[in-house]
Amino acid sequence: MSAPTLADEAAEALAAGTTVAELRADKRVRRRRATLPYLLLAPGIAWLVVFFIVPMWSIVSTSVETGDMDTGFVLSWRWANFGDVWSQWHQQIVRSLEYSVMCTVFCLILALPLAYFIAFKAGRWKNLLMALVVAPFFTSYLIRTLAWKTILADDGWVVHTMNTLHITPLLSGMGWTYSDNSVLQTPFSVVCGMVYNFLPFTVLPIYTAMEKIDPRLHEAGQDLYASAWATFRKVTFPLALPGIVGGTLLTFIPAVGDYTNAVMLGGPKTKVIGTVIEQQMIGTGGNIPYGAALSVLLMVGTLVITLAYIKRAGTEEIV
Amino acid sequence: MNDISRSREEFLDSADRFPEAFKRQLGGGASRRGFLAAGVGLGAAGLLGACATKTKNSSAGAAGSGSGSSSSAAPSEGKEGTDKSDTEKIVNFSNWVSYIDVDPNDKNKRPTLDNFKTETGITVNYTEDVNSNDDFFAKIHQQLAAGQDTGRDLMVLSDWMIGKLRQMGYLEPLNLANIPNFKDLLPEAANPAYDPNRKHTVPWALGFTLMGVNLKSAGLTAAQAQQLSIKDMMTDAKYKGKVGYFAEMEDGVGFGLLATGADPSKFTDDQFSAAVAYIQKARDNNQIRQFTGNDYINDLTNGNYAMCMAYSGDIAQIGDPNIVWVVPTEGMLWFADNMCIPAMASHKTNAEKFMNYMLEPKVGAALDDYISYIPSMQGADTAMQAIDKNALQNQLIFPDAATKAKAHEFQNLDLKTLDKYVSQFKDVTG
Repeated sequence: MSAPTLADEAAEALAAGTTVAELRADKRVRRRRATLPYLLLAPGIAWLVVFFIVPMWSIVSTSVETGDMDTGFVLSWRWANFGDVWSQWHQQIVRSLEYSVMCTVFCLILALPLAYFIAFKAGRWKNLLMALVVAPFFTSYLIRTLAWKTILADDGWVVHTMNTLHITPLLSGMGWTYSDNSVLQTPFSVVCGMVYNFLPFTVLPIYTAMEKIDPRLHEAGQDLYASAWATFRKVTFPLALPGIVGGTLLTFIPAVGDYTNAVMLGGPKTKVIGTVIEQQMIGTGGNIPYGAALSVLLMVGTLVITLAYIKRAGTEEIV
Repeated sequence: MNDISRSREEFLDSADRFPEAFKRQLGGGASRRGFLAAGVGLGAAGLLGACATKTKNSSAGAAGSGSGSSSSAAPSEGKEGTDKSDTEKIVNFSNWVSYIDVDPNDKNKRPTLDNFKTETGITVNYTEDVNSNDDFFAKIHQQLAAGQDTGRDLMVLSDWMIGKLRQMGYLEPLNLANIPNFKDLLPEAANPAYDPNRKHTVPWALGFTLMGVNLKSAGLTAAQAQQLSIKDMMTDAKYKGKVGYFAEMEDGVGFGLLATGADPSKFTDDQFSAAVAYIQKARDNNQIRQFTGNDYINDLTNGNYAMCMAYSGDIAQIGDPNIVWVVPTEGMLWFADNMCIPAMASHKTNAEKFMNYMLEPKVGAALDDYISYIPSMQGADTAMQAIDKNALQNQLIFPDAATKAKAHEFQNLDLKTLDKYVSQFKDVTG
């Protein structure tokens, strides 16, 4: 657009009843005000582009490349990569989903009473208990996971106790472990490690949601002759729902991609998709496009499951 | 009033008057617009990404053809980098964990490396970052393929991996002028199939792949354990879920071949498949608890394993009477770990000087006395007299003819067969 001539500006100023100089100053201010929001947004947008959109594109484009490590990979738009990886590794994908769903469910079962107790019954111990929930974070994730190898060792007291109580044969009967006197290197030990590692992610949001609930609502429930269970079901649970949905998502989403627990606590039959991706991307598999295709599949799958879950759970506050 | 604030007011105004429409707009339209905007951004970023990808590929391709790595039939030699040995008195050395002598009084001191520095003034930057041949290969492959310096001047890898690297043209040939001690190599160690005439390697240690047994966990006496076979380990229900097995193809299938009655040094495709099926069965029956790399010791010592595949020196180093090494009745495997120099190394001469130093009988004897593997140079037995007379009787360090007769080498394979076999076995190990 060419700059307006002086004659145009003069006519405009006359119509508005001001001088040309004032009109120009006014326009400058307006222009600045119009661009200011975008300038303020720029750092955020730049962040998003550099750390989200570009990597996203990078992984999607890599997933349709072909080639090998020695000659390099070329972008050939081979969408069949997705079919290849699905047919080759769908077992591991399904297994990852199974483990993460189990992990999320067990975390929820443990976290609900725990958060409830801390929020409503702990009184002055509240802060201490919350600190204890968070305390494991002060140790490295890997070391915590490795510690479970000692905890669940065949000669450890946990397994001895489980043997005495005949829990180990029960677990192996259910197919969660493979022998009657050990639990390591089985799906059971992997899910144990995952539940342990992800539990704080479930507890924290649920606790935050419950903590905000006015205790007088519980009293009102009792006044209206609701049982404790009915009060929990009709009052506490719906009010804590945003926290529950948030907590389960915070657990489920990282759990799908987690492979530390499967590698350290699992055996030959517990390989999850994270391990496959690692092997393809930086390990012995050496097929980077396959690794990328698996990552994209995993991302899309997780997104679809998450969206369906949010829609079902129906909490608008968290999205 | 400017545009943005006006439209905001109109928006709020309509929100007051039409709350339902407002909600709809907030819920549906707004997010869809956001989605579209993201799509445009994605397209723009796409152009950027495409450029980046192309340059990456073309450079890798050029380097690959330059070093003539994969497709040519005759293996080419690894490209030499600029040798900075004269100005930088260092050598960057990657080795396996617990594979060198340590001062009993100070665990941070390694006498072998310290003495080398006193003798030559060269500092060895020693890193224990090899846990399995496959993983280590994956770590350096990309740089080697692109014709870049891996940052390492010297590394210790097992026999079959040496064969693979050599055939891919990733190893530099040795300059024997820097390694006068080379002539003292034991004749049986001087000309391995994976590196004819040792043009690229000097042995670090020779040893056996055999079985490690936790007597308490297995419920056996030491004498009973000596009667164990690979078959017992793989099929006896007593040890179900208490067996550790090596994940590397050569080790794993080697034992499978022995158990199925084949000879690991000379086998057919069918025998290979039968051995793999044998291991697969043990895995499916949950006999095998885990496939491991070099990280099996803890599980064996704390009783998670009753028995497992093991490297001879590892078991000897544990020094626990409850953990014993056993030569399975079917036999065991030889292995050799070798020092080699990767292509484009920056301190090749220093690395060769270190190789020469390691071939001195008293240095080799001191190392092998500590790590309990077999010295590969002549005169090591004489040198050992002065260091540790007991070691001379140790079958793991100075094996006699009867022990050696039980050990089998693994057949040397060309690249294509090796890759095929490795991926076939990988399906089992998961």
